[in-house]
Amino acid sequence: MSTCGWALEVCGGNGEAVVHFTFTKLHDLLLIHLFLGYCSQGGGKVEFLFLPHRMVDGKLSTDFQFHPYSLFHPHSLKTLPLFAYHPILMVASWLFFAPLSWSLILVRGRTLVKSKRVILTQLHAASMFFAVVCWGLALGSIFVHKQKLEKEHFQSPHSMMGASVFVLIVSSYMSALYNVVDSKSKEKVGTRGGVSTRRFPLLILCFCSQHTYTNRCFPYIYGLNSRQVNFNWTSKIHKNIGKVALCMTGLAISTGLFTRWGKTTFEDKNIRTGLALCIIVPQLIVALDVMTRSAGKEDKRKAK
Amino acid sequence: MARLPVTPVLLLLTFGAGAYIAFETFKALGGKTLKE
Repeated sequence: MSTCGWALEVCGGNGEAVVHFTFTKLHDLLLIHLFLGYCSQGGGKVEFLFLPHRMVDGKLSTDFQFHPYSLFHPHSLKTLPLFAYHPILMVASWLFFAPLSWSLILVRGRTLVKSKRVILTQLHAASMFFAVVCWGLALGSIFVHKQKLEKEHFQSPHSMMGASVFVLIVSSYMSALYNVVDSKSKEKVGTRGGVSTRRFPLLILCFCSQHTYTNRCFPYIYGLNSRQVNFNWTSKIHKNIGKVALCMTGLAISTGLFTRWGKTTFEDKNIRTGLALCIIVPQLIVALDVMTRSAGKEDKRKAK
Repeated sequence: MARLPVTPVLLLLTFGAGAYIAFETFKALGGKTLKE
Protein backbone atom coordinates (compact mmCIF):
# COMPACT_ATOMS: atom_id res chain seq x y z
CA MET A 1 0.00 0.00 0.00
CA SER A 2 1.48 3.35 -1.00
CA THR A 3 1.93 6.15 1.53
CA CYS A 4 1.17 9.73 0.61
CA GLY A 5 2.53 12.94 1.99
CA TRP A 6 3.42 16.48 1.06
CA ALA A 7 6.65 18.24 0.22
CA LEU A 8 7.59 21.88 -0.17
CA GLU A 9 10.38 22.50 -2.62
CA VAL A 10 12.32 25.71 -2.23
CA CYS A 11 13.93 27.01 -5.42
CA GLY A 12 16.51 29.77 -5.66
CA GLY A 13 16.64 32.65 -8.11
CA ASN A 14 18.10 30.43 -10.84
CA GLY A 15 15.15 28.02 -10.58
CA GLU A 16 17.18 25.17 -9.09
CA ALA A 17 15.88 23.39 -6.02
CA VAL A 18 17.76 24.39 -2.88
CA VAL A 19 16.03 22.28 -0.28
CA HIS A 20 12.73 20.55 0.31
CA PHE A 21 10.69 19.99 3.44
CA THR A 22 8.40 17.02 3.90
CA PHE A 23 5.10 16.98 5.75
CA THR A 24 2.55 14.35 6.52
CA LYS A 25 -0.32 16.79 6.88
CA LEU A 26 -1.39 19.30 4.29
CA HIS A 27 -2.11 22.12 6.72
CA ASP A 28 1.47 21.93 8.05
CA LEU A 29 2.74 22.44 4.52
CA LEU A 30 0.38 25.36 3.98
CA LEU A 31 1.43 27.10 7.20
CA ILE A 32 5.14 26.78 6.41
CA HIS A 33 4.45 27.71 2.79
CA LEU A 34 2.76 30.94 3.82
CA PHE A 35 5.32 31.73 6.53
CA LEU A 36 8.36 31.25 4.29
CA GLY A 37 6.62 32.94 1.39
CA TYR A 38 6.05 36.16 3.28
CA CYS A 39 9.46 36.05 5.02
CA SER A 40 11.25 35.85 1.68
CA GLN A 41 9.40 38.77 0.17
CA GLY A 42 12.01 41.38 1.01
CA GLY A 43 11.73 44.77 -0.68
CA GLY A 44 9.02 43.53 -3.02
CA LYS A 45 11.43 41.17 -4.78
CA VAL A 46 10.77 37.45 -4.59
CA GLU A 47 14.05 35.67 -3.96
CA PHE A 48 12.74 32.14 -3.56
CA LEU A 49 10.03 30.12 -5.18
CA PHE A 50 8.03 27.60 -3.18
CA LEU A 51 6.57 24.65 -5.01
CA PRO A 52 4.24 22.28 -3.17
CA HIS A 53 4.33 18.65 -4.30
CA ARG A 54 2.51 15.46 -3.60
CA MET A 55 4.73 12.66 -2.28
CA VAL A 56 4.08 9.02 -2.94
CA ASP A 57 6.12 6.36 -1.10
CA GLY A 58 8.58 9.00 0.12
CA LYS A 59 9.36 10.27 -3.39
CA LEU A 60 8.49 13.56 -5.01
CA SER A 61 5.95 13.26 -7.76
CA THR A 62 7.57 13.37 -11.17
CA ASP A 63 4.88 15.64 -12.51
CA PHE A 64 4.72 19.20 -11.39
CA GLN A 65 1.57 19.29 -9.32
CA PHE A 66 -0.28 21.97 -7.49
CA HIS A 67 -2.81 21.58 -4.79
CA PRO A 68 -5.87 23.80 -5.17
CA TYR A 69 -5.09 25.66 -1.95
CA SER A 70 -1.90 26.89 -3.56
CA LEU A 71 -4.04 28.92 -5.93
CA PHE A 72 -4.51 31.44 -3.17
CA HIS A 73 -0.85 31.81 -2.37
CA PRO A 74 0.87 34.80 -4.00
CA HIS A 75 3.99 32.84 -4.92
CA SER A 76 2.04 30.01 -6.43
CA LEU A 77 0.17 32.42 -8.64
CA LYS A 78 3.46 33.09 -10.38
CA THR A 79 3.92 29.51 -11.42
CA LEU A 80 0.39 28.15 -11.73
CA PRO A 81 -0.31 27.29 -15.37
CA LEU A 82 -2.40 30.11 -16.73
CA PHE A 83 -4.54 27.57 -18.53
CA ALA A 84 -6.07 26.45 -15.22
CA TYR A 85 -7.79 29.80 -14.83
CA HIS A 86 -9.58 29.40 -18.16
CA PRO A 87 -11.98 26.54 -17.29
CA ILE A 88 -12.46 27.75 -13.71
CA LEU A 89 -13.36 31.30 -14.70
CA MET A 90 -15.44 30.15 -17.66
CA VAL A 91 -17.44 27.92 -15.34
CA ALA A 92 -17.91 30.84 -12.93
CA SER A 93 -18.99 33.03 -15.80
CA TRP A 94 -21.26 30.84 -17.94
CA LEU A 95 -22.34 28.15 -15.53
CA PHE A 96 -22.91 30.35 -12.49
CA PHE A 97 -23.41 34.08 -13.15
CA ALA A 98 -25.04 33.73 -16.57
CA PRO A 99 -27.57 31.05 -15.44
CA LEU A 100 -28.29 33.23 -12.41
CA SER A 101 -28.90 36.01 -14.87
CA TRP A 102 -31.35 34.08 -17.06
CA SER A 103 -33.15 32.70 -14.04
CA LEU A 104 -33.78 36.29 -12.92
CA ILE A 105 -35.22 37.05 -16.33
CA LEU A 106 -37.49 34.01 -16.02
CA VAL A 107 -38.66 35.18 -12.60
CA ARG A 108 -39.26 38.64 -14.02
CA GLY A 109 -41.46 37.10 -16.67
CA ARG A 110 -43.85 35.89 -13.97
CA THR A 111 -44.52 39.27 -12.39
CA LEU A 112 -46.33 42.32 -13.68
CA VAL A 113 -45.35 44.60 -10.76
CA LYS A 114 -43.19 47.29 -12.28
CA SER A 115 -40.92 47.90 -9.28
CA LYS A 116 -40.10 44.18 -9.03
CA ARG A 117 -39.47 43.99 -12.74
CA VAL A 118 -37.03 46.91 -12.53
CA ILE A 119 -35.09 45.33 -9.63
CA LEU A 120 -34.96 41.95 -11.37
CA THR A 121 -33.75 43.61 -14.56
CA GLN A 122 -30.98 45.39 -12.67
CA LEU A 123 -29.98 42.18 -10.90
CA HIS A 124 -29.91 40.49 -14.32
CA ALA A 125 -27.58 43.23 -15.58
CA ALA A 126 -25.41 43.02 -12.46
CA SER A 127 -25.00 39.24 -12.68
CA MET A 128 -24.21 39.54 -16.38
CA PHE A 129 -21.62 42.15 -15.46
CA PHE A 130 -19.86 39.67 -13.17
CA ALA A 131 -20.21 36.99 -15.85
CA VAL A 132 -18.54 39.28 -18.36
CA VAL A 133 -15.72 40.15 -15.93
CA CYS A 134 -14.97 36.43 -15.31
CA TRP A 135 -15.30 35.78 -19.02
CA GLY A 136 -12.81 38.53 -19.89
CA LEU A 137 -10.29 37.19 -17.37
CA ALA A 138 -10.79 33.64 -18.69
CA LEU A 139 -10.21 34.79 -22.26
CA GLY A 140 -7.15 36.76 -21.16
CA SER A 141 -5.67 33.75 -19.38
CA ILE A 142 -6.05 31.41 -22.36
CA PHE A 143 -4.76 34.07 -24.73
CA VAL A 144 -1.61 34.72 -22.70
CA HIS A 145 -1.14 30.99 -22.11
CA LYS A 146 -1.23 30.28 -25.86
CA GLN A 147 1.01 33.22 -26.61
CA LYS A 148 3.59 31.90 -24.14
CA LEU A 149 3.52 28.46 -25.74
CA GLU A 150 3.49 30.06 -29.21
CA LYS A 151 0.37 28.13 -30.16
CA GLU A 152 -1.98 29.28 -32.86
CA HIS A 153 -5.37 30.70 -31.95
CA PHE A 154 -8.81 29.63 -33.26
CA GLN A 155 -7.75 26.21 -34.50
CA SER A 156 -10.29 23.99 -32.73
CA PRO A 157 -14.11 23.83 -32.85
CA HIS A 158 -14.08 24.91 -29.20
CA SER A 159 -12.17 28.10 -29.88
CA MET A 160 -14.30 28.87 -32.95
CA MET A 161 -17.44 28.49 -30.84
CA GLY A 162 -15.87 30.71 -28.20
CA ALA A 163 -15.09 33.34 -30.81
CA SER A 164 -18.70 33.30 -32.01
CA VAL A 165 -19.86 33.75 -28.41
CA PHE A 166 -17.59 36.77 -28.19
CA VAL A 167 -19.15 38.32 -31.29
CA LEU A 168 -22.67 37.55 -30.06
CA ILE A 169 -22.18 38.95 -26.56
CA VAL A 170 -20.59 42.12 -27.85
CA SER A 171 -23.41 42.47 -30.40
CA SER A 172 -25.96 41.92 -27.66
CA TYR A 173 -24.52 44.78 -25.61
CA MET A 174 -24.07 47.01 -28.63
CA SER A 175 -27.66 46.48 -29.75
CA ALA A 176 -28.86 48.35 -26.66
CA LEU A 177 -26.96 51.43 -27.77
CA TYR A 178 -29.20 52.05 -30.74
CA ASN A 179 -32.46 53.94 -30.53
CA VAL A 180 -31.79 55.11 -26.99
CA VAL A 181 -34.47 57.47 -25.66
CA ASP A 182 -34.33 60.55 -23.49
CA SER A 183 -35.39 59.60 -19.94
CA LYS A 184 -37.65 62.61 -19.52
CA SER A 185 -39.05 63.45 -22.93
CA LYS A 186 -38.97 59.82 -24.16
CA GLU A 187 -37.73 61.10 -27.49
CA LYS A 188 -35.24 59.08 -29.44
CA VAL A 189 -31.70 60.31 -29.01
CA GLY A 190 -29.66 60.02 -32.18
CA THR A 191 -25.98 60.47 -32.74
CA ARG A 192 -26.46 64.22 -32.48
CA GLY A 193 -28.09 63.92 -29.05
CA GLY A 194 -26.57 65.30 -25.90
CA VAL A 195 -24.99 61.99 -24.91
CA SER A 196 -23.04 60.03 -27.44
CA THR A 197 -23.62 56.68 -25.77
CA ARG A 198 -22.64 54.89 -28.93
CA ARG A 199 -19.08 55.94 -28.37
CA PHE A 200 -18.98 54.68 -24.79
CA PRO A 201 -20.38 51.17 -24.71
CA LEU A 202 -18.34 50.30 -21.64
CA LEU A 203 -20.53 52.67 -19.71
CA ILE A 204 -23.17 49.97 -19.70
CA LEU A 205 -20.83 47.60 -17.93
CA CYS A 206 -19.93 50.25 -15.40
CA PHE A 207 -23.44 51.15 -14.45
CA CYS A 208 -25.40 47.94 -15.01
CA SER A 209 -28.45 50.09 -15.14
CA GLN A 210 -31.40 50.73 -17.36
CA HIS A 211 -30.26 54.26 -17.87
CA THR A 212 -27.14 56.32 -17.47
CA TYR A 213 -26.54 59.45 -15.47
CA THR A 214 -23.72 60.82 -17.53
CA ASN A 215 -24.64 64.39 -16.79
CA ARG A 216 -24.30 63.88 -13.03
CA CYS A 217 -21.36 61.49 -12.95
CA PHE A 218 -19.16 62.60 -15.82
CA PRO A 219 -20.11 66.17 -16.65
CA TYR A 220 -16.60 67.06 -17.73
CA ILE A 221 -16.32 64.09 -20.04
CA TYR A 222 -19.74 64.18 -21.62
CA GLY A 223 -20.42 67.89 -21.41
CA LEU A 224 -22.65 69.84 -19.07
CA ASN A 225 -25.52 69.72 -21.53
CA SER A 226 -25.57 65.94 -21.73
CA ARG A 227 -28.88 64.23 -21.20
CA GLN A 228 -29.99 61.27 -19.15
CA VAL A 229 -30.90 58.50 -21.57
CA ASN A 230 -32.43 55.07 -21.34
CA PHE A 231 -30.56 52.30 -23.10
CA ASN A 232 -32.60 50.19 -25.42
CA TRP A 233 -32.47 46.98 -23.40
CA THR A 234 -35.97 46.04 -24.47
CA SER A 235 -34.98 45.77 -28.11
CA LYS A 236 -35.79 42.46 -29.72
CA ILE A 237 -32.27 42.33 -31.12
CA HIS A 238 -30.78 42.38 -27.61
CA LYS A 239 -33.11 39.64 -26.41
CA ASN A 240 -32.73 37.38 -29.43
CA ILE A 241 -28.97 37.73 -29.67
CA GLY A 242 -28.81 36.99 -25.93
CA LYS A 243 -30.72 33.75 -26.46
CA VAL A 244 -28.50 32.66 -29.34
CA ALA A 245 -25.41 33.57 -27.30
CA LEU A 246 -26.74 31.50 -24.41
CA CYS A 247 -27.05 28.44 -26.65
CA MET A 248 -23.64 29.08 -28.17
CA THR A 249 -21.97 29.25 -24.74
CA GLY A 250 -23.45 25.83 -24.01
CA LEU A 251 -22.03 24.47 -27.25
CA ALA A 252 -18.66 26.13 -26.61
CA ILE A 253 -18.36 24.61 -23.12
CA SER A 254 -19.52 21.23 -24.40
CA THR A 255 -16.94 21.19 -27.17
CA GLY A 256 -14.38 22.22 -24.53
CA LEU A 257 -15.20 19.02 -22.65
CA PHE A 258 -14.01 17.05 -25.67
CA THR A 259 -10.66 18.82 -26.02
CA ARG A 260 -7.44 17.37 -24.63
CA TRP A 261 -8.11 19.09 -21.29
CA GLY A 262 -11.61 17.57 -21.13
CA LYS A 263 -10.37 14.10 -22.02
CA THR A 264 -7.69 14.14 -19.32
CA THR A 265 -9.89 15.71 -16.65
CA PHE A 266 -12.93 13.52 -17.39
CA GLU A 267 -11.58 10.25 -18.66
CA ASP A 268 -14.98 8.58 -18.92
CA LYS A 269 -16.67 9.58 -22.17
CA ASN A 270 -20.14 9.04 -20.68
CA ILE A 271 -19.41 11.63 -17.99
CA ARG A 272 -18.35 14.15 -20.63
CA THR A 273 -21.48 13.48 -22.66
CA GLY A 274 -23.66 13.73 -19.55
CA LEU A 275 -22.09 17.04 -18.57
CA ALA A 276 -22.52 18.40 -22.08
CA LEU A 277 -26.22 17.47 -22.00
CA CYS A 278 -26.63 19.02 -18.53
CA ILE A 279 -25.29 22.26 -19.97
CA ILE A 280 -26.87 22.38 -23.43
CA VAL A 281 -30.37 21.10 -22.70
CA PRO A 282 -31.27 23.66 -19.98
CA GLN A 283 -29.95 26.49 -22.11
CA LEU A 284 -31.95 25.40 -25.15
CA ILE A 285 -35.10 25.05 -23.07
CA VAL A 286 -34.54 28.43 -21.44
CA ALA A 287 -33.95 30.12 -24.78
CA LEU A 288 -37.29 28.77 -26.04
CA ASP A 289 -39.04 29.21 -22.70
CA VAL A 290 -38.14 32.87 -22.29
CA MET A 291 -39.40 33.53 -25.79
CA THR A 292 -42.81 31.97 -25.18
CA ARG A 293 -43.18 33.43 -21.69
CA SER A 294 -42.34 36.90 -22.92
CA ALA A 295 -44.88 36.58 -25.70
CA GLY A 296 -47.58 35.59 -23.21
CA LYS A 297 -46.79 38.41 -20.80
CA GLU A 298 -46.71 40.99 -23.54
CA ASP A 299 -50.25 40.07 -24.49
CA LYS A 300 -51.37 40.40 -20.87
CA ARG A 301 -49.76 43.79 -20.44
CA LYS A 302 -51.44 45.02 -23.56
CA ALA A 303 -54.80 43.71 -22.37
CA LYS A 304 -54.38 45.56 -19.09
CA MET B 1 -43.31 23.65 -22.37
CA ALA B 2 -43.65 27.32 -21.55
CA ARG B 3 -45.74 26.74 -18.45
CA LEU B 4 -43.75 23.93 -16.88
CA PRO B 5 -42.09 24.90 -13.56
CA VAL B 6 -38.74 23.81 -14.88
CA THR B 7 -36.55 26.75 -13.87
CA PRO B 8 -35.17 25.35 -10.56
CA VAL B 9 -34.47 21.99 -12.19
CA LEU B 10 -32.66 23.58 -15.11
CA LEU B 11 -30.74 25.85 -12.80
CA LEU B 12 -29.71 22.93 -10.60
CA LEU B 13 -28.56 20.95 -13.63
CA THR B 14 -26.44 23.84 -14.88
CA PHE B 15 -25.00 24.72 -11.46
CA GLY B 16 -24.35 21.04 -10.78
CA ALA B 17 -22.49 20.58 -14.05
CA GLY B 18 -20.48 23.76 -13.37
CA ALA B 19 -19.62 22.73 -9.82
CA TYR B 20 -18.53 19.29 -10.98
CA ILE B 21 -16.32 20.70 -13.74
CA ALA B 22 -14.73 23.21 -11.33
CA PHE B 23 -14.18 20.48 -8.72
CA GLU B 24 -12.55 18.12 -11.20
CA THR B 25 -10.37 20.93 -12.55
CA PHE B 26 -9.14 21.73 -9.05
CA LYS B 27 -8.56 18.08 -8.37
CA ALA B 28 -6.62 17.64 -11.60
CA LEU B 29 -4.34 20.48 -10.54
CA GLY B 30 -3.24 18.81 -7.35
CA GLY B 31 -4.32 15.26 -6.97
CA LYS B 32 -3.35 13.32 -10.06
CA THR B 33 -0.56 11.52 -8.29
CA LEU B 34 -3.13 9.76 -6.15
CA LYS B 35 -4.10 7.69 -9.17
CA GLU B 36 -0.53 6.60 -9.86
